[in-house]
Amino acid sequence: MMTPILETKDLECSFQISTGMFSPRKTLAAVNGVSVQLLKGQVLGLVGESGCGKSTLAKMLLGLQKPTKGDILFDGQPLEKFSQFERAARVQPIFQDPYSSLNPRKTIFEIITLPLSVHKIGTSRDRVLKAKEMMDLCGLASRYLNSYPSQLSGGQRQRVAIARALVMKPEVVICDEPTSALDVSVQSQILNLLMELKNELGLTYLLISHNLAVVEHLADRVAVMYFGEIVENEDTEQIFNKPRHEYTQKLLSSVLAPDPNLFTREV
Amino acid sequence: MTRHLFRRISAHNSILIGGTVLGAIVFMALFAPLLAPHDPFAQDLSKRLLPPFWMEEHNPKHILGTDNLGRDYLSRLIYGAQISLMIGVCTAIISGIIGSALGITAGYFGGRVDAVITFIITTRLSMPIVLVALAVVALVGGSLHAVILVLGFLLWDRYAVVMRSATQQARNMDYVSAARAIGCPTWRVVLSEIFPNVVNNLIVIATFEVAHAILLEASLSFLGLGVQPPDPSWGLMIAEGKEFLLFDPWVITIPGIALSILVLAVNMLGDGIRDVSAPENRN
Repeated sequence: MMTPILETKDLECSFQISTGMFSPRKTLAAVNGVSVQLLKGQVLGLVGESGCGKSTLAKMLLGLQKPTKGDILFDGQPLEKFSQFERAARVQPIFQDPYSSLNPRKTIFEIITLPLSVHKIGTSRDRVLKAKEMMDLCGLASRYLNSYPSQLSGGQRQRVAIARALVMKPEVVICDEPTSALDVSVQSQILNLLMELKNELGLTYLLISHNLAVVEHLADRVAVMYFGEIVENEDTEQIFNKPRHEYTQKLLSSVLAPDPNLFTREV
Repeated sequence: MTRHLFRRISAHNSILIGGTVLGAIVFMALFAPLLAPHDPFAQDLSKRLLPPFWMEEHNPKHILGTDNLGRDYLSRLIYGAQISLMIGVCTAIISGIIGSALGITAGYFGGRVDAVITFIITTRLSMPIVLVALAVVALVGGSLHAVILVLGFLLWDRYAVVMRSATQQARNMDYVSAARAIGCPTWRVVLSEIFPNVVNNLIVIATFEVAHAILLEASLSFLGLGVQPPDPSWGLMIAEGKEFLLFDPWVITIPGIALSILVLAVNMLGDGIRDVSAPENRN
């Protein structure tokens, strides 16, 4: 049995919601006792309806949100033990909307090399080379180096976001709906790129998606999240062919097929 | 990028008009000693209240006439531009620093910090500016520095309100999360990710606050608590001329028109910058 590269143990995150000046505060558990494991080189798909806590989980893994209870273990060590720099060098995000994930006032070069300049890695000439290398890796022409995000298309922007996430050579990449803001024709390009990069650089992905077809196609394992809890966490085939939990069955039957006679699932 | 910006600016009428007029006034203020035909402080009681050029009996040496002490009105108007612009710009800078620091802090951190700063903003908004300014200037004595400081510490409210809401919007963008996930320290997130995206608001408000401060200085000087004579402030010129309003109305009209043109030019420029720099107009 391999040791998981990233693991959560009974992770909880709850928010205090005030409902008025005189009524008592209520606690909303966005993530409630989640234990998942990411094995090195695998893709873990995370599916679930809107507001079920997928993004809160992702934020906690990135260190953007403090868990109220539970542990996040990286290579068996708690995440709090790592400095910001070490954490950033291990886990990086790719966000849903490439229109809001790139600072519109910065050039592509500045965006891609931000991790390097924050952690003072390399001279400015090294950074230019590194940026060109990353752009090449992500299928972007290096003539865009001094362009602004507004001059690029959605797909190109997402490639920039991927280049920025990979410039620190992280081991785990958290893809929060990486294609849902893109055109259908571009979606497959970006997904293919992600898979190529995974094989080339030995990455591990946590793939959060609404698109069950994408998850079925890419993920090795799938975790189904419902109201802050993982209700099912199995191999992809198992989930899509023999879903056990009632919610998973509902989720799968909610997918609209182009031709219902051809694509109906046995539930 | 710069060429695009230049083209948008040159196609925008109110930037062109406002910018040209303001540029002319700034030029006038900067080169006042070269442009003014006379010493603005030199009195000549034998030439009191000479009328300007469009009236009969005008003196060709004094195009805009003279005031009640025989000082050349054009020269005083030219030197007065220095004072108006200095007050406008200095006030806008002081209040801009205070207001944007408060607004960005409140917007970025939210929660309790936001509650406290919002309370400070509300407190400030509940104070009548002119009354407070009058009281303070009456206490410390009127002078150019006093007016600049008092107005600077009073006019930051609009900056704070606008910067707060602009920062709240920018804070929720994914690029801020990305920068934090990279391990960017908070000061750097604020300065290099958020500030460049809210700074265009700052420029727009700054122009409006320049106009606001110039008008307030004129009111304070008119009430005798702003710039002190013999300095040639436009507000003070109006104040000094009010006794002659009935028979020599031009004594008030000339600095009044100058003041209106300056404020109009600054406001037009501000309007234009807002149009040009609005994110929805980009590319």
